[in-house]
Amino acid sequence: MSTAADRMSTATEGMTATDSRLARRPQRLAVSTLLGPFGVLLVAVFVVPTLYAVYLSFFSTSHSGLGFGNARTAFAGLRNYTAVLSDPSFVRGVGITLLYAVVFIPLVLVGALALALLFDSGLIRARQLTQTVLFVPHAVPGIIATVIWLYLYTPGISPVLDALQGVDITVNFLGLTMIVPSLVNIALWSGLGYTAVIFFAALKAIPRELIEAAAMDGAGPVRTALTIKVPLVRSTLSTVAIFTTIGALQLFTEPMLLAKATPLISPRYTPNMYIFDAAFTRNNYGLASAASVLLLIVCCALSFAVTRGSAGSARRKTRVTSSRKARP
Amino acid sequence: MSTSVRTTPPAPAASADSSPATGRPPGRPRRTGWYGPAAANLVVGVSALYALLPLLWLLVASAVDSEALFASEFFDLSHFALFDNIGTLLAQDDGAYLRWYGNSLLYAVGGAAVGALISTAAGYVFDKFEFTGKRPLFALILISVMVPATVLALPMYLLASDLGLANTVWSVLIPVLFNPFGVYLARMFSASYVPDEVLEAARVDGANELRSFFSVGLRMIAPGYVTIFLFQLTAIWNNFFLPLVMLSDESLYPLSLGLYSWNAAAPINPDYYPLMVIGSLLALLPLVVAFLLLQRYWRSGLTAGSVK
Amino acid sequence: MASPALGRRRLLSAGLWTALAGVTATACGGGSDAGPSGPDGPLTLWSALRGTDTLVAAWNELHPEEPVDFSPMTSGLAGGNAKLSNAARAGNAPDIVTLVDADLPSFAIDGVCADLTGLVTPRLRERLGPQAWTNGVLDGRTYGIPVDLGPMLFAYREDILTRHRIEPPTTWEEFGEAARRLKRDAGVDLATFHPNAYNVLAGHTMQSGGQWFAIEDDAWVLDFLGGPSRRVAEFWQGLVDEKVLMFAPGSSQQWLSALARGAVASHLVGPWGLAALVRSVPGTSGRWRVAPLPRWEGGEDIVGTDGVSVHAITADSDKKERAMRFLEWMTTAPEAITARLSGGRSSILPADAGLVANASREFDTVFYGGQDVYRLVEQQARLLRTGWTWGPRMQATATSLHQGLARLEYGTTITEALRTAQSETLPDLRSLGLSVRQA
Repeated sequence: MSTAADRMSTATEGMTATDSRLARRPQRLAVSTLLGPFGVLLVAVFVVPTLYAVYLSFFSTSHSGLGFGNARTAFAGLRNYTAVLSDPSFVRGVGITLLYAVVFIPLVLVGALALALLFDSGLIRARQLTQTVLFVPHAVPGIIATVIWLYLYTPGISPVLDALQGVDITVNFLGLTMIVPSLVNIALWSGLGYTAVIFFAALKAIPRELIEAAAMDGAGPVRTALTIKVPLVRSTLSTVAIFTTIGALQLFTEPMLLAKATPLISPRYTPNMYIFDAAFTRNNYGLASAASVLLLIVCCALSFAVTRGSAGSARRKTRVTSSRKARP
Repeated sequence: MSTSVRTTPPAPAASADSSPATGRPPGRPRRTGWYGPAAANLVVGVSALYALLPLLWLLVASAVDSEALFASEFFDLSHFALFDNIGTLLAQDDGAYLRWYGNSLLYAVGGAAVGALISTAAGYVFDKFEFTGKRPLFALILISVMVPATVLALPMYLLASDLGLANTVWSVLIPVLFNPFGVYLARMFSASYVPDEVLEAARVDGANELRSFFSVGLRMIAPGYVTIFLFQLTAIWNNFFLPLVMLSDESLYPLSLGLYSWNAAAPINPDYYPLMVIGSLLALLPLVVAFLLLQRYWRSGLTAGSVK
Repeated sequence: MASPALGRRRLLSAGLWTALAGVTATACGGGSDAGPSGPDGPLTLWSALRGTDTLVAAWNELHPEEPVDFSPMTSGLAGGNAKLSNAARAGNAPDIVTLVDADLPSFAIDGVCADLTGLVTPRLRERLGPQAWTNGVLDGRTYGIPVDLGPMLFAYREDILTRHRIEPPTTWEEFGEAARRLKRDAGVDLATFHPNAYNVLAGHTMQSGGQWFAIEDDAWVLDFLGGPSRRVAEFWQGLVDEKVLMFAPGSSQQWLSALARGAVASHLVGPWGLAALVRSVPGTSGRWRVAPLPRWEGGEDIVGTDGVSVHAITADSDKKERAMRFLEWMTTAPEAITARLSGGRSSILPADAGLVANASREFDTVFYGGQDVYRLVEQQARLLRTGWTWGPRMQATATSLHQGLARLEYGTTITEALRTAQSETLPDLRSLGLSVRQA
């Protein structure tokens, strides 16, 4: 079925592969040896820490009264959870993240889809090259992407601001109303081309007969794009949408860096920053864990949606397309 | 089976030549719509500029002295100072930058090389073997892909701290080996690159399962390994949260964390701005170069899932 | 359930931690900072306090048999606190650490600082007065050894004020009037409002009789908006609104260059800041004088504290007695204060009144036109208010307050910032299980 198989045909000569799965008995050693290291990692850096986070969220270095000299770890019930949810800074962080997500996700999805459809329309010159150019920002580490944009936002360094000043426009990209758009811009710059390439790959996989049939019926390219192509890549769209949402909920690096340049970004600006602040500046592990577990629940709910969404596809066809979300 | 991992030139599985898509000459539309090629090219062109200009700024800004940087005067050759800038960068804080660069290389190359091997082996097992608990285990892996790193960072830090591992190379190096998405990819690569027949043949020849993985399977899955390696390399190079939590000793910092610490100093001491600019440029070069040279691999990784 | 694969995994997971633990042995020893060194090794000290290098060098010269190994650290809010917490957790905290007074309750509650009550010698107890111990004693137990006193002062540009015929203000009302006149006549800002200086706002609040945190009936009482606190907030808000003060973060380039240019004519700070000022704006030498901080008209003749330090011994230290001997020397020996000030980088007012003369001799007053600065500082120290308490999570409270104050440019008010800081402090304290209420 494939060239590799052909290449190996000397080895397979005379064999008829009847059963695709290999015989059972000698497997045990192979499975445990090959899967073992990953299994160890799965337990050590995922299962144990996750369970520990849940455990911590129900406990607290409990004090009584003033707290001097009587610290002990004690079951705290839901106290950490109520504290997180009653903390105005956490609630505000959730609000900011939602605002960010509501602006960013439609922009990146619609923009990337439009670009992918244009690529697929066959109208674009130097398609390979432009795709590569669009993709390059994705290879730029998030922290450096933020540094670049931060400087492009900083008066005195930014040629953009200088140019705008030249035509009497003053924009404070780090001002009160512009922070969220500025953050969205950084994420959009990093993710637009990357997402477009994913969508383009999905579009390319559409059987051309369907498109030709539509053209035969007299549908223009726009109508073909919207009525034939988009519905056919719906599952890729929804998967990417969910991954993008999970990514958006984890907003951390960009505001952490921008925070050094503007006091308007507080150390608890997003839920992830809240967790970091609670754990490492307030040394309140219970509080940090409770906030982590809340975030975990939201992400699990979303990932449940992913597995649900692709349940119809065969195991090998699950359309997980993102790698940014890959650990670490 | 209609599965085909597309656009993976070196891959044996690029077998979808039956697909009509490949037969279509690219760049030649059958008909043009009202919006016309010009508008389409304009939109794409503007997007490409949006992607490119900030990087070009970084490149140009790295090459000039700080006077020109703050005045945005980039095209006067008398301000050319690329090598001075690199010199200053390397000398700053007793050569901290080079140390961070070395650390990043260690964490990223070492971590990705080993991590990708672990993931590849695991993905191969999921593809080729049946064993008890396979389905729930794979589901757990899929879930772990989506759990935010921050959720795990605090408990991992506390555990590492109790083990005396916090603020050591291991506290960063061990967690980055874990790449569940790599397992997922490897499973798919294994399915399309490594035909079961070949393994069956190897088995008949007397090779045990382990030997056939290392002698046959690993070789055939190599392009997939490179893809996973590349993605993991990027992820580790970009990694910020974990080292931020784990490391307090500056000499163990990777580039991301080192640049972050300089960034904090820049608003107070403007001398750090030029350092950040040139430091950022040098820090992103290896990745961009790797991606450009190994395009076919990342494309295969990106499109692996988009099968019809 | 006893599937071989699962069984093996369980086995592996059990072996994992052993494996990881094995790694530790090779991984240790990479740290660059002096950590614990065994009961016979040198004492380790982390400090961000200026002049500690010369101080430690003097001790090591005098006491080679009990050496101290000093590592400079960044100040608390800039990362020093986080570093100390991490080290304490990992078991490699130093024996002694310098903390600003505001951070002591937090580390005492976390169990990082040892209870030193039984270790303080009667001599030391007596040498430092009640105004000093207020900074080191919490709920009747001693957690920190105070090293200095910090009456807030009014350091001003004598030349600028004279040129515009403005007397150093003695009351806040005069201060406001002077600010308006100076701005109107000369375009110069009398002082700076630092949005990142909770300690200064706290100092003003102390002077006014406010109490952000109080301890009543074994409970923490938060009152950021009580009458005196509000009065301070509104006074400064008025000046900020009138735009007669500079608005810039402390230690920012912007502020330092304004000081150097003479665009700002005063600096409100504790004694420690006098040497810092000398180093920050050396070009203005000879033109500065120091006066008492203004008082409220008809108010008590008292003054608040700005930025004093205490030394804590960590709970895990195995050399507490030796550490205490060093600390007693540091706080009460004339040669200690002389050594600390000898580099010209420190201008603390020693908590031990017996050392003030030595400090005064060591401090070069050229920058202040030869004024007998220490005499003034010592007089002011007698008027320090006692009984102020810092909160159990002061860094978080301070950060929250700084966020609010930074937004003054965007229409927030100081009162609003205080209210937010209080409401953001509460959940934290409650989740720790402390008894907390709002006034």
